[in-house]
Amino acid sequence: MSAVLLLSSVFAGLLIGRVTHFQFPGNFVQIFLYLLTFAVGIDLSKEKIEKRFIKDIVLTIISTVVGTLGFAYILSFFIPLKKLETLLAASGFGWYSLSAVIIGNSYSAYIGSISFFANVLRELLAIIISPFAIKKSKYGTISVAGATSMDTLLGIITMYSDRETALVSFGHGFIISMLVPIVVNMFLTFLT
Amino acid sequence: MIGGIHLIWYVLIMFFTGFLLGRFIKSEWIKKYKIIMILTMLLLFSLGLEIGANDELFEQIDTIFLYGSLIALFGSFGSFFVGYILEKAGKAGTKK
Repeated sequence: MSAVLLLSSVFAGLLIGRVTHFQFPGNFVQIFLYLLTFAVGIDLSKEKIEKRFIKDIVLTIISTVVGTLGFAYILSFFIPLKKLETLLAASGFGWYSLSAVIIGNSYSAYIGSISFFANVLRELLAIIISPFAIKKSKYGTISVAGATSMDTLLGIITMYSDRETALVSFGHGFIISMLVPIVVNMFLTFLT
Repeated sequence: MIGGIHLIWYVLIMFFTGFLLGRFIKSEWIKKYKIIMILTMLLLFSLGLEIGANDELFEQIDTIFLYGSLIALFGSFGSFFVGYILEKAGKAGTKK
């Protein structure tokens, strides 16, 4: 339901923007972004990660970061974007609202839009494959979910696995959410 | 273009300020009033407006979708692949 609401917001924006050419003043968008990251920070501060799952969480984080950026790097040889632009667009790890807005405002609206679609599709893909993929690999499935493994995908992963996997999924999403602004910033620094 | 490279630093400051402050204040209101959901919807709406109102960007919607899809597919496959290998390696190590 929330995914439908969020996608509807984008399409409503696309339609209204196309017809009226209306845009929020720049500061409004930044204020929304600051408030969102502040609220996410407060929300995450209440959560605790169990120590006995740290090894699994670390391995899933390595899978997400190395797998995403490694394969995005391979892809960068076949598409007409700069290597760092491809890595930048991939570095949202599923957190499309944050990565797309930061990239759009700090570097390029075009790459920001690509990042948005890449991360939305990653989440949709994770929703579709999780029930089947989790039987083959729990780490792999959690990694595909990226930052959403602690919210949108947590319910699905819990439903098709066990409590331990759900806790690893949560811890993974928690750390990946913290890594997104740091990794995006790293690539932005290299590009600007 | 708005914001600039300094925007990311403000984002990081806001995130970690919230994270530290959250340990000392109540946060039920965030879930109760769906604050994150509402702010995300506003952000996504403004992102849609930006693409829709920008003629140059809208004309490139086909390549945006194509490259976005490819990055999603490669990133997801790569994550699953590395996760699968690490999980199998971990199990093999435990058996020994």
